[in-house]
Amino acid sequence: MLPSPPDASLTIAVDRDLVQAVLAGRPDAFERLVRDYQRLCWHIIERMVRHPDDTRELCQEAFLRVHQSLHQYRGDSALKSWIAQVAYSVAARHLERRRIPLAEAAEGDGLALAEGVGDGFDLESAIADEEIRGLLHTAIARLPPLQRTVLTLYHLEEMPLGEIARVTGVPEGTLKSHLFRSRKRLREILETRLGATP
Amino acid sequence: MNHPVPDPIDEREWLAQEQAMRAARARAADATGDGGYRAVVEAIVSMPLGAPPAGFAAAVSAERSRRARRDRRIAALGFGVLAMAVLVTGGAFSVPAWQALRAAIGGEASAWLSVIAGMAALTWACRQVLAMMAAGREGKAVG
Repeated sequence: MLPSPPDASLTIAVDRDLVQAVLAGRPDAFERLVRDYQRLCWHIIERMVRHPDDTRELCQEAFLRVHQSLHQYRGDSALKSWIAQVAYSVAARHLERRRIPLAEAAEGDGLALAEGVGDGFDLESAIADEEIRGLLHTAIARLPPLQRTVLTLYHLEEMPLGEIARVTGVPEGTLKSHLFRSRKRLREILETRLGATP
Repeated sequence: MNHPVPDPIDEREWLAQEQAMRAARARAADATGDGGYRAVVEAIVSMPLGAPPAGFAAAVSAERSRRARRDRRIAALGFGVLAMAVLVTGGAFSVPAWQALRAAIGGEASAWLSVIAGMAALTWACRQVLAMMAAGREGKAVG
């Protein structure tokens, strides 16, 4: 049985209190907000940019932007989504400045993803769980930034697709397609490398 | 950014993916469903993720205070420059203008006008000082 999600209205009420404390300039309120959401912000940015120094700098930038525009938070949705949206947009702008595409343009570059996945990988002994995971971790790391981030938000943060659509500004149908194709491709890589479904 | 129209997905395969995710979340002991997708889901959730360094929140908060102080200094400097410009410009044109005003509204009224202008200037200056003192207090508390 899955754990039941926390009461949404209670979460939003707690969020509003925290936001009001920050806006009122109450000592330590902003630091608490950062502490509460730093993990989420870090995960999104790290998945997008894959560079530790950039992640730290961009994560700080995201929180400074959160503080700057916190008065715009209306409390209609969870603060978590709102902060995730800021973190995503900061990371996306960083990638755009560096001309790194956020998502693949079209179907069919699965081979590029699969190529090199086996580099330094002993295929003959790749039957243990750890090795299968290592193979897939490499393949996940090679996914485009948007796909990597969607996998993280959906599976690790357990965000529904509608919420991820609000965070990324990408239509829900497109996200579902990205998620489906990423998982399918990872499974195909597994099959190709191991010769059969485990 | 433009997002291409998504390709249609195979709903049966989508359900297999979702079932694998639910099984992994529930840590179901029986390995029913698609083993390949189960391995994929387990790999996704076990992917190593970094974490913010210790003291990250305090550092961000301190940086915010530092930037706020810097912005206030820049604003105060801007006001100062503006006030100087107004004084200099006013000085250049005030004597003939003041004489014309006195002649137009009379000596007593112009004296009261000076008092009102002086009080407005004093109020503005007090506000600036209080704002700067508050900024200093906030910087100490957060930073």
